[in-house]
Amino acid sequence: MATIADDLRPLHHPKSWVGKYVWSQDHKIIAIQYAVTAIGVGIFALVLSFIMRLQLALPGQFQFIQPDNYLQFVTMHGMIMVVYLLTALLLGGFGNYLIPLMIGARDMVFPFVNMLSYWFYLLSVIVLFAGLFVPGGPTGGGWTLYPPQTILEGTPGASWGILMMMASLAIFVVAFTMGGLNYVTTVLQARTKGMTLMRMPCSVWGIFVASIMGLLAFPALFVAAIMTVFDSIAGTSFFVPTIVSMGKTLGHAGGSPILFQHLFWFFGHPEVYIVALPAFGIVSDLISVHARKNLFGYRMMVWAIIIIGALSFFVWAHHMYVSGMNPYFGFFFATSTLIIAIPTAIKVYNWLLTLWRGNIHFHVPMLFAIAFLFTFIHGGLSGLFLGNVSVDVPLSDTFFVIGHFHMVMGVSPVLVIFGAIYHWYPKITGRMWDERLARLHFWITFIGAYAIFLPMHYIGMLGVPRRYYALGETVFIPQSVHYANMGITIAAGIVFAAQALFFYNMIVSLFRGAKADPNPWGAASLEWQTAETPPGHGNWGATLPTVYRWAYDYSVPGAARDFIPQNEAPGGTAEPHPS
Amino acid sequence: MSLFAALTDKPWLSPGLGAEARARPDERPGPWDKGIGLGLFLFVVTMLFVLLTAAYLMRMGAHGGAEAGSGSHGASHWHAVGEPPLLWINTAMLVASSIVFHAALTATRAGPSLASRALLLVGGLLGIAFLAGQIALWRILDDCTHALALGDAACAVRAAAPASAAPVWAANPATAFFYLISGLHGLHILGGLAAWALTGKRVLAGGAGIVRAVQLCARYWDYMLLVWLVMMGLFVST
Repeated sequence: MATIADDLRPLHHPKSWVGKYVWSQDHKIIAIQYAVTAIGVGIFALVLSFIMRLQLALPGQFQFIQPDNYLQFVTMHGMIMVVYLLTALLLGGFGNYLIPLMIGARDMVFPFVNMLSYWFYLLSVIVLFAGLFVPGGPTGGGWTLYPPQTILEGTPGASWGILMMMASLAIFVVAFTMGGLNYVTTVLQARTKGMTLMRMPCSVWGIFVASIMGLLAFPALFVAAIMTVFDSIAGTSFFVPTIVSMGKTLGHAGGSPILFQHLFWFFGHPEVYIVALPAFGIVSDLISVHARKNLFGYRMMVWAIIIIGALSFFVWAHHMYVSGMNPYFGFFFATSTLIIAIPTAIKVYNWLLTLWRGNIHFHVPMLFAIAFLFTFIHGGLSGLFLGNVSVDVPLSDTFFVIGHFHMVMGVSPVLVIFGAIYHWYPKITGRMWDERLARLHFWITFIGAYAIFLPMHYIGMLGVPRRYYALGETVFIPQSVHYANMGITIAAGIVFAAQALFFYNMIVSLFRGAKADPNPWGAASLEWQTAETPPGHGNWGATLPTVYRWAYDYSVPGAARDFIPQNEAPGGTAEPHPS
Repeated sequence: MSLFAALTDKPWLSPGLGAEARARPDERPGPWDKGIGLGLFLFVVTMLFVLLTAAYLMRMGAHGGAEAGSGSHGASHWHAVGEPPLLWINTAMLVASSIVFHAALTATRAGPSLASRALLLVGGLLGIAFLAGQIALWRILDDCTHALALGDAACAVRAAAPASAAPVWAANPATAFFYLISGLHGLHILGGLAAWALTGKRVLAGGAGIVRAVQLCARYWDYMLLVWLVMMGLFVST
């Protein structure tokens, strides 16, 4: 029998503390590095959002929020949340931690490249933050970074800020490519004996397909970033048309701003699903485990993930209905947008049918998973409005859009991330968190999210534009909008403060939490069957597990327990792996 | 098992081990083969250059059609790069490099020898020569004294817009695209040279897996050649 003892080459065995925890090639450490960094920058972006809320509730009351700053906060908040938090945390964090453990591998296929991926990611974060200190500050062009506005005088950060942002994004793309290659290759190559593709948990499917999508979509951002830098520094005219500014003709001529938008959204829309698909996968697993029921329509769930991934490359221009592109494109992209609702709806129905008559345990991860269903359905439905050209045109660039995308790709994945952290924390740390604090954190966050984003739909329908520093005396904006803005800001303050409960719980539990059971939820998937908790270097001790079944054997009639681990042979019991 | 069969499997019906899994060892000895990883990377590279091609064509077609006979595309300020002789020489160098890499692979398969090492060395050197040629080509395209050789295209826009502070190559979007695309391609060649250096080190050290390393090196080189031929086709045909 071949064992790891026979050949140690695939695993890098660190000898020192620095080798083990800093320059680590262990997927679990890299996952934690990714997660901590991503959450760190996420907190920064959260603070920015609260500053924006302060300005919207009390316009002009704060000296440190000037119009330029406000636009810079808007831009940094958006970009950090979408790219540096959600993408990095879901793929770099959860992808790294879960893929090898869930498919029964010892590590990623290319651990060194995996390590490089994290350090390039950190570099991209450093460059991004360095942008705060360059002359003119960071770019204030909005997270979509549309030229010519972003590189023209008058926009905050038009000289240095935009360059730092583009450089940071280009480095991020390199980091992601290194990580993404690893995730995909590991799933294709390193599944343990018996782990067929259709025995993989949905979490792995979500991360796997999202990684492939990232490999396809991020080059578009890379190209757009480099071309913008060329336009900005070298004076090329890829995107910038002839412009007369203050009576002076600028040096550019003939560029196409819409070209940038096509490139950006060719990345930007799949990016929504790069964030959503891992969340879909994880929520499927949370619901199944905590409802003690097999996932309804597993095959359909997997196919839906693949179909959504593929279709998401054909809907990008629904972000561009008002861009001036050929109006006939609108018809095509509205149609494809509505078609993508079909596999998405299949997923939602299957989640609901998994819950149906399940033995539901309202553990905190389950609460977050159910909350996700609410916010995702909500955000999905408002997406149907915006997917239609004629409805989108008046709603474009209003707070309705802000409400929609925060619900569907802000709150929803964040709720899944919280659920996932609560779910896997006992395996990652070997400790349990405090139940009461976690429940309190859940209820404030969930209700608070509605209190923040639901009113935005209404003020959006009144025509309140996004990205405006102040509304001033505007005829069509009634007093109620100002009250709503005040209410939203109060809710945002409460939700913002409530996150302290989460961080306090996670950090204190790390030292004082009760020792966790190796499989506290009675989950069937492989990561809960490791000999050690937290899993040791190499994950599986001397021998890799063999997989005999899918990941959803819950409440099987006649079985001794209400779950059957994936590594339990038919008619037998799962043997713990010798460590 | 075909992909279709794999994806239509009903995993809840059949606990146990399939014949394929039973035949597998409990753990495959490492290190992992890099073929799939390289394939995926080339997939990313393809995406990058497909997007650049799309951007090239969209930018070229922006603001109306071509003005007959002039090679200029109306308000898009587009002037085709033309076919400087160095373009063909560089391409020939990359083709030669790819052929030599294949010869090196054949020789390595026959067993480690001086010839196989020499061929590997020459293949990489030709890659370096290609890069040097490309840099020379960039200098030519940025220099209006060579305008005659280039059919006066490179400097036409620059001359028409004396107010522009942009360098010659940047004023004409066709040339700017040439710089962008050939620059990114050059960076990939540079990355390939790093892999080539590592492969060379492995070949000199000897041991298992040399043939596969040279094979993957040659595969990457072939692909970069293919990308370049397509890109060059784009430049000379538009």
